Amino acid sequence: MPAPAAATRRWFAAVGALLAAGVLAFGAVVAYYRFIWEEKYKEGRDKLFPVAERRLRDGARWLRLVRGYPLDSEVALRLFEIDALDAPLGSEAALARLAVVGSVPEQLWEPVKATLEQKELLRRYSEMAGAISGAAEQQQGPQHGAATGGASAVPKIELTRVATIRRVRGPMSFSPDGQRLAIVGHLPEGAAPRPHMRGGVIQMWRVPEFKLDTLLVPPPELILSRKAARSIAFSPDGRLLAVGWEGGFVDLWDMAEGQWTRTLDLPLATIRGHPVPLEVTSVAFSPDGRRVVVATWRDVWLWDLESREASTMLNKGGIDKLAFSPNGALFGAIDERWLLVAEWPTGKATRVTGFLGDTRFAPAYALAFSPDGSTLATGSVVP
Amino acid sequence: MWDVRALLEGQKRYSYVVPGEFSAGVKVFDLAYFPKEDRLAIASDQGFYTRVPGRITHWTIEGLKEAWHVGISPDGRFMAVIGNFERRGLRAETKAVVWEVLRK
Repeated sequence: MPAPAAATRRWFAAVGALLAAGVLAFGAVVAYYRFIWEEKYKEGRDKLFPVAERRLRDGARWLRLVRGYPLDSEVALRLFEIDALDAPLGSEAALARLAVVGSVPEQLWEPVKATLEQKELLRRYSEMAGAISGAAEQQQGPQHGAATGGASAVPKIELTRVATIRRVRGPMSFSPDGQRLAIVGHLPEGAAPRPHMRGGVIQMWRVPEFKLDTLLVPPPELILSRKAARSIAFSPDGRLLAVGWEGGFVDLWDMAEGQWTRTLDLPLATIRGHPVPLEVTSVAFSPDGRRVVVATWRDVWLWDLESREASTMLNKGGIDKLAFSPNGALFGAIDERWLLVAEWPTGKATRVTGFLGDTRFAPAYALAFSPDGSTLATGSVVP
Repeated sequence: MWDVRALLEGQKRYSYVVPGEFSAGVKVFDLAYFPKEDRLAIASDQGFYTRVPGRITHWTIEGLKEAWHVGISPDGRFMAVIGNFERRGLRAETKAVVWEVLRK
């Protein structure tokens, strides 16, 4: 094959350079779009669409869930009457607008109720009305610490502020008899300063006066290591108080004496050859009050208060919250990726429900059983 | 909101608080049920909420930026919230506010 002439080589070089420049330009455009324009777009979007509008879109997402639900024609008509938009009858936009900026008058629902024959329909619509009025309430601006409940079988409430407690960090817990409120924090104003104190004080407040009753101060040899608490729990009889601290400690306090009694000092874990503390994330007393369940980032420990022995109970780590059901028969734990429910103390019927891949539940931080034990509420990030 | 019986039977049955009922992006830090009633107190990075079936109420609390912990007395009479409160010209302050809960 003959060698290409110099002109042909130059032509190929020029084409190659052009192609390379094109690729670079394309990459620059993509990078601009991805990293610069998108940010500008987000900023502009936030300016253009205030919070109410974004909630409207959230409302639309919510309504998408009930879109397939059979809308009674009268319901749809009345929904449309309330809506001031020219959106199509019963459309997502009309309903979303309702969910965000409108509230449904009680008298409107009366004729609607009459047309609904199935109880299930009524239930769904009452939920929807609650959500709509709830959303509307959020738009009403400051209420100075007072708001009232809505249309529900549960009675409405009003809140009256009775106390403001400063120099606290949390967590907190009411005693089982309701006579005391324990809050982890700092030394209160006016208290005599203590050397090396770094915030590890438990303030005991008398209820209902909300007067400071006692201060639980760790012994001097422990003060340095008690900075921030992660969890606090009273024993079921109220005689003991367990506090889980950062650094891998759980302190036990005798409430009758107001004295520290003992500490569970968890062993160090090893990560890549380096010793690290087993950070405590949650503590809970067993229903009989004889053991303390301690969750850490690596595993769950069971601390027997009679034998003073502690052993690992569960090799699941990363638990953010532990809780017992009100009757003490069940035990719940939550991680950002799963929810565990087991019978206590046997551990039978252990069910681990994975959250992974289910964006509605990731990550989860909080857990609570309903008073009747039938429902378990978990707290996460609302998508 | 998980059905506990269904969980124990190995089913994954739940209902959840959906956008529209609850602002998107809310990060829930703590939960507590009121005793003897189906009312849930919710501490979050957007403030403090209570929820009864079908309804969520956002409580506008002066200065509250984030609510971290919520506690309810065993008789349901008092409720305490620990959170981050704004102060004009000063750093935000962590404090606890206690309310008496009055039922109508």
